[in-house]
Amino acid sequence: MIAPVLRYCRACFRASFAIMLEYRATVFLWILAGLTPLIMMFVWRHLAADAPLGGRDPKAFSFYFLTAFLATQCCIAWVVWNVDYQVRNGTYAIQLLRPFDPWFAELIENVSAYVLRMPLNVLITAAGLLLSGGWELIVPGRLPAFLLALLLSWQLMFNTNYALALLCLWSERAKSADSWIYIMLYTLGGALFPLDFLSPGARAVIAWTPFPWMVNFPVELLAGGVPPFPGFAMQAAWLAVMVAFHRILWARGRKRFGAVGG
Amino acid sequence: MIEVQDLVKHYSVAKREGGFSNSVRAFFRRERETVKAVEGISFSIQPGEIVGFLGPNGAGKTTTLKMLAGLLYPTAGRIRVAGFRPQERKRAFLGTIAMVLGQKQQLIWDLPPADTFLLNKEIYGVSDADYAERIAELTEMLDLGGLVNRQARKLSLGERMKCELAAALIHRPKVLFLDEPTIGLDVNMQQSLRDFIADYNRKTGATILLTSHYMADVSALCKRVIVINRGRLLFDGDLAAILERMAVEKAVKLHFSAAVDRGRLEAYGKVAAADGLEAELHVPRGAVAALAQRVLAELPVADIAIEDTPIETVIGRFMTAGPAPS
Repeated sequence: MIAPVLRYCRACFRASFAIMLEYRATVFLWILAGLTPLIMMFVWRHLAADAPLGGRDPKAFSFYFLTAFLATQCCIAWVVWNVDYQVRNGTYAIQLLRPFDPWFAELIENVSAYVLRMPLNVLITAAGLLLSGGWELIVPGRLPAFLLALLLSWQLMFNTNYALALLCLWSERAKSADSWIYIMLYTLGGALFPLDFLSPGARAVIAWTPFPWMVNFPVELLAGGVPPFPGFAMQAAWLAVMVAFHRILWARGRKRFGAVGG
Repeated sequence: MIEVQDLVKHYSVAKREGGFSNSVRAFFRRERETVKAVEGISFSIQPGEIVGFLGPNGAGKTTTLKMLAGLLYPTAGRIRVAGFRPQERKRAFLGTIAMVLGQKQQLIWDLPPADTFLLNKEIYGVSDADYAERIAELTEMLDLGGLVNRQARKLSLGERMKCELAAALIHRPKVLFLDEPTIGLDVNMQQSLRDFIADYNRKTGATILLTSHYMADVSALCKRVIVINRGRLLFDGDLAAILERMAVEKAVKLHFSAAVDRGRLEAYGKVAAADGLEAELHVPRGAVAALAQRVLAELPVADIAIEDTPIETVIGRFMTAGPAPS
């Protein structure tokens, strides 16, 4: 079973990557659309120019928002949009005719976009950290854990997206969930402001959502501000919830699916 | 190869009347209704058969095809395709069938069809040797030539449909569902696809279930037809029998260089439409040649076209005539 899946994933990657190359300009526009944390960096640096704010000076804000930018870029997935479009124009049937779960095709399309986009994202982050001096706040021993946290952030966001996308099997329109999830990611994830600016009560509530574990956790982890394991446990737990959720939606949704359009 | 027993598909759709106030009302209280797309149909198809699946728009043809292909879950009834229950979507089942939807495409829009072929090769685990042999064969049969290396979006509708068929057949399916494969194509392209489908069936022994609104597709390919309407089976048997009974006329479409009044046309046949410079006559099949000679000689004809009775009309007559399911 594993060999055919790998073969399928490799073939999907080739096709998806070729499409990404056809639309390389769009891929770079996606990076521009995700620049909000960098804009927030300039705002917060300006506010902290004269005196530290919440214990952070301009260098600390640079570090925070540059790494938050990298984390949010790891969380960009357009699965909801894709599946919504396919269901509404009837081409989702083509996916269903393949002897593989459509999840694989979406995953590989997401991977191929990252392969094209991530080198530039890493370059922007590294250059920003070097120029602002934010690199001094990196705890080098935390780099492997940081990369693992980014990987889990990506998987958590991708599977959350996929679960919401499968709501199309009921409603045939789930695109509004796409906007909602990114608003949550930016606000509750900590891409607009460091979450320690919130009251302890608010932080405690937000901690029970998946979003702070996607952005804030990897950033604080790299700075050595939080221990690794409670965060990894939350990422893994939310990932398990989202995977279980989309498996249930898939099993039930297929029975309700209307295969609209011709 | 295909066994269908008491198949039923009902689904719920939102409904509302047009207009702004109804939109607002529907926002707060949405009404739903149950559409009975398929209502207890039964039939069986033997290996290697090509069967035409006919019915007017909304009859339940595509819904039935989608249930046979495992895309839709039946509300009730029993289906077996090549020994599988389609709704279970087993890998072996999905590797046994192919479905071509004339109005939906599986070709990757931004890439050449060759890339879709390679993707399908991997999806279905076709060996390099089999792939090379099948691509060569499909290229020859469908006259694909240089098409496969051009972006799919730059191909004409007919060229795309040829590539769609090739993509669907790379894994050499035993069961092929064709949903209006010739829709929108010109007459030559329709003919070339018909020839291909017949050839493919002869060479591979594949079982083919075909829906089409073109009488020519059905008459060229199918000895047997299944007619459904409003989800119910009306007829299952020889195409010749249904045509003999119902498609007794042809339509003769005339364009005149000078206006001809309706009264004058009635001497030539049943006048279905007359508008001075244009007219349509319905004439018994056996009398068409003689009539064509007469109108060309006696009327100011600028152009003439002789067409089969549309399949919709044949089926319409069939239903009016009070069919008895066999």
